[in-house]
Order: sequence, then structure tokens, then C-alpha cells
Amino acid sequence: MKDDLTLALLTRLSPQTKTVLDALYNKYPQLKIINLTDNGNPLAKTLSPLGRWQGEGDNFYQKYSKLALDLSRQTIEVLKQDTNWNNTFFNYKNIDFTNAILHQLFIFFFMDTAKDYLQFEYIIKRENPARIIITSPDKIQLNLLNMLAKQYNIDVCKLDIQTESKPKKKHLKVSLHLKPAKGNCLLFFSSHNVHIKHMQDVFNRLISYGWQIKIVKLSADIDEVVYPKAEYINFTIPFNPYNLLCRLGAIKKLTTKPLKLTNNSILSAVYPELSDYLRYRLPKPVLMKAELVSRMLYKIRPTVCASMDHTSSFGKILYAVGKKHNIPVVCIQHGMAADWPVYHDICFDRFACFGESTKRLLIKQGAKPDIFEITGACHYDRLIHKKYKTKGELLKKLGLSVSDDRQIIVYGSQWGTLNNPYTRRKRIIESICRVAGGIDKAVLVVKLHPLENDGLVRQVVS
Amino acid sequence: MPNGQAVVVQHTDLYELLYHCRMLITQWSTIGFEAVLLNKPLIIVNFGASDDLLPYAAEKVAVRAANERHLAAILPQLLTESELYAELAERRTKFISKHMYSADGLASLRTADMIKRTGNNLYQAPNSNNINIT
Repeated sequence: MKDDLTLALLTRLSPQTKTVLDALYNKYPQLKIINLTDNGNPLAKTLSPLGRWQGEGDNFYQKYSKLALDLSRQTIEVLKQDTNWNNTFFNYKNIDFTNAILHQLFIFFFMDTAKDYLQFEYIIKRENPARIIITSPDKIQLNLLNMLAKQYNIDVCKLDIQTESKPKKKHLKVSLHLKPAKGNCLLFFSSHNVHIKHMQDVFNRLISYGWQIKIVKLSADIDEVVYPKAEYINFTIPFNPYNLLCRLGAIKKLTTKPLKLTNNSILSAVYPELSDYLRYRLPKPVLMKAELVSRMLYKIRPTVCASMDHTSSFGKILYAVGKKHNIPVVCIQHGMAADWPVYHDICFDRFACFGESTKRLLIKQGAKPDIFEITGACHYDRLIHKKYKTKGELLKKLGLSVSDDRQIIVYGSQWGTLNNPYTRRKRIIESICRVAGGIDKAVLVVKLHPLENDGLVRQVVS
Repeated sequence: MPNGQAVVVQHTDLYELLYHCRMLITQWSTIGFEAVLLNKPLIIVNFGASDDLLPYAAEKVAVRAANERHLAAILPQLLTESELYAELAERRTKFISKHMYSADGLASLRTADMIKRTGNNLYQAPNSNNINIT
């Protein structure tokens, strides 16, 4: 152990952080700071010198998603043995939500837990500090760190730094009236404008077959202009939310302890937050969505339900509810599937997939083989049929001379993630600029990812 | 970077860029598939030790650049009608058929037909006795 080394782990940054760190430097001269927040946070620049979390390596993401899936499965197993839980939640109104709950646990609870646990353990092993000061941790982070501190004989203390509050999310309007479908009808659940764009030609074709298209807006951001031929339905609460919360009271009244705890397990470290999550927070989104979908299907009676949500719990809820109402649920693939836990146990009546490779991968990950139909990717049809502008028009749009005869090299850059840290992205873009910049007969066009907003590329290119 | 040698864009139509470009460089983005469909060569920049997330290089529609020196060696070759350029072109049809069925522009038609058949084959009128709405 490095006797004098004190690590400060920053989980959040605020304008007060610098003052706090200056005080810490005075007290602990051997202080090393590691920033665990988003690399793009502009406050990080004011906190120099600052160590940056580099990740354990390329397989870190796979490692923590696997750990998260294991923890979710263990929790489900314990809960399923409990008859109270089994009757009131897993089989709420005779709808089997096991997959949706597993998914919800995995994504919203254990992904962060597993990431924090592996990250802390890695840092402790690498730095071997005498003490750790963690800023503004949540309870789970503190429990995990305390658990590791015992194991590695380290002192841990927390420092609360005030952070700014986040703006409130937009809410959907309330809609009470749903008309039953006349004739064949596709009820498409969309969480993104892109899904509607990708499905436009499919909708047009179904309309030519005499079908009606109804689109359920799962997000307030969906723009009806994207496909005006459809009827849009808000995904809202067509009944008193208070009644629903009373109904969820059945979950609150559960008295059994959902987990067997041992002092050394991660599950112990996340208890009682996990227990709280299971009782109050987890049932709410799953049951509320299920209630709404159930009412929609009952009133509208579509011929087929469809969605592109194959990686979220919503797709799993839709399938479970569709089964109860005897309405088939189709999923249309919209992105490349990878060997990643969100693609596990995909369940739909039919799954329109891009190609043989996706089918094989998803079967390997637990999907039934007979649900698949290989259709290709709908959105690539536009790529084939599109009437492209001339090169001159494109060059003009890029701010280049229309007579520029240089060859265009496109770099499609990626945004920063734990698996794609700032330093690696910087090294890559610098290398590409050096190499492409040395070729006179070529011009480099960097296409930023839609979610990329940290200014790294613009800074390097300029 | 010398003036006029690089442009950064975010909202320009990606397909227009890919259609007119000579090649695409990416880390692992699925835009590699679009580039392959438009018959463009790919360079995957992976300066780490891990495997690529998507199989472009493994299935030889892309060349993987493991470092800057390697990138500097590959890039000029793909700006000319080199052997490497031809090799990548040769593998694209097989890649498309494996991962995207076909570049025939009929995926929407197949999907619509699948939905139609699903409705015809599986649909039964909901039995109101089974529905417990309170």
C-alpha cells in the first residue's frame, strides 16, 4: 500500500468542486484526483491537474454488463421463489412480466451498480491507496466502496458537494378517447422519430393493402409531420393515476424480504436500495405501461402490434400484453445486434431481421428460431432508391469550391463512452488528421455522431 | 490541419456524403453497413487491443488500422485502383447477403408482407372474457 496516497474520486462536478479540492490538497499533499464523470463536462477543464478514468480496457463494458445480468438473474430467482412476489407482480393480471422485469433490473439498477463496483475495484488495485475520498456518492456507491475498503484495508470517507438541479422532463398530454380500428390495422409503438422514418415505406405498402396505420407516441418528441398519413395516439394515462398507485399498494404491502443477504456479496451492498427499488420504483413503470397497452389493445383492437424496441423493456411488456389479448406482436430490427445482454431472450411473435447473422446471434442468445423472418433493413431501401445530389451541390453545402476535384474521405466519428474514452478518441482523430492532411488530392470530412457534443473533434481539426 | 483540408459536419445528410466519398473511416459505427451497400471501401480504426465490435475487417470488407503508421500505409492505397481496393470490393456482395439479405431495395415490401401475413395467420378476435379491465 502507498501509505501517503489519498485518492479523491469525483462522481459529480459542480462549481464548488475546485474550492473543495484546493482544501483537500492542503490537507493531503499526496492527493490524486480521478474524474469519474462524463469526459465532456466543461467543468473538468477548470480542475487541472486532474486524472481521468481510463477504463479497465476494451472489455470493461462487456464485463460489467455481464455482471449486471448475473445479478439481475440472481435477484429474479430469489423473487420467483416468493409466492407473494410471484402472484402480485410476475403474474399481474395473468400477464407474465418476467422478461420485462429482468430487463428493467438489468438496465436501470444493476448496470450502474456493476459499473461502479468494477470501476472502484480496478482503481483500488491499480493505485493501492491508503485512503479514498469520494465526492457526492449515492448510497449504493458508498456501500460498494465500504465493502471493497474492508477487503483491501483502506479508509473511506465521503464529501458532499452541492450540485445543480437538472431541468424537468417534458410530459405527454392526456388523451382519453380511443377509437376502435376499422378493418385491418397496424398499431405501431414508436419511441423515436427515426423509427417512423425507417417504417415509412412499410406503412405506405400496408396502406396500399387497405390497412390503417395508428402510431402510439411513446415519447413527447415524436413529430407527426414525419408521417402525416397515420393517426397518432398519445401514450398517456386514460384513468386516474391515483387509482393505479393504490393498486400498486399491493406491492408496497409485501412484507417478505426479497433477498438472502451475505456480508460479502454485491447484493448485500445494494440492499436496502434494491429492496426499495423492487417495492416502489420497479413495478411502477412496468405495470403502468402494461395497463396502458392493455387498455389500448382492448379499445383499438388492432390486427397487429409492431415496435422497433427490441432492446428495451417496453418490447417485452408489449409482447406479454399482446399475448393476453391474443394480438400478435411484431418487432422490426432497426440497428445491428451485438453479443450484448440487452439482446438476450428476445420474445415476439415475429421478428423481421436484417440478415442471417442477426438471426443466428439472437437464437444463440435465447430467442425461439421460428419467430424470425429475414427481410433486410427497411431504412436501407432509401439508400438504394434515393435521388442523390450532384457532387458539386454537396461540395457547395460543405463550403468547398464546386470545382474541387479532390477525393472525399469521410470519417464517421463516435461519441465518448466508458468503452471509448476521451484519450483514445483524441488519439484517433489526431492520427486521421495527420495522415489525411498529408494527402493533397483528398479532403477529410468528419461527420460527427448526432450525440457527440463535447467539441473534441472541432478542437483537434481546427 | 491545413486550411481547407478538413471539414466538420454534424447534420449534413450522411447518405449524400457516403454516396460521393471515396472511402469511409470509422471506429465501429453501423454506418459501415451503409458504406458497404454504396460500394465504398472501409477503414476501421481500432488502436486498442480488443476485437472489433462489428465484423467489417474480419469479413474483409474493411481494413483494420491498428496504429497511425498502419493507417498511413493503407489510406493512399484505397485512393487508387489498388489490389487492396479490388479485394475489398470483391467481398461486399457476400457480406451484404449475410448481414442485410440483399441490396435490392425491397426490404420494406418484405416487412409489410410479413406483417400482413402475421395478421392473417394469427389474428383472432379478442375474447372479452379474458380481459380484466377495472
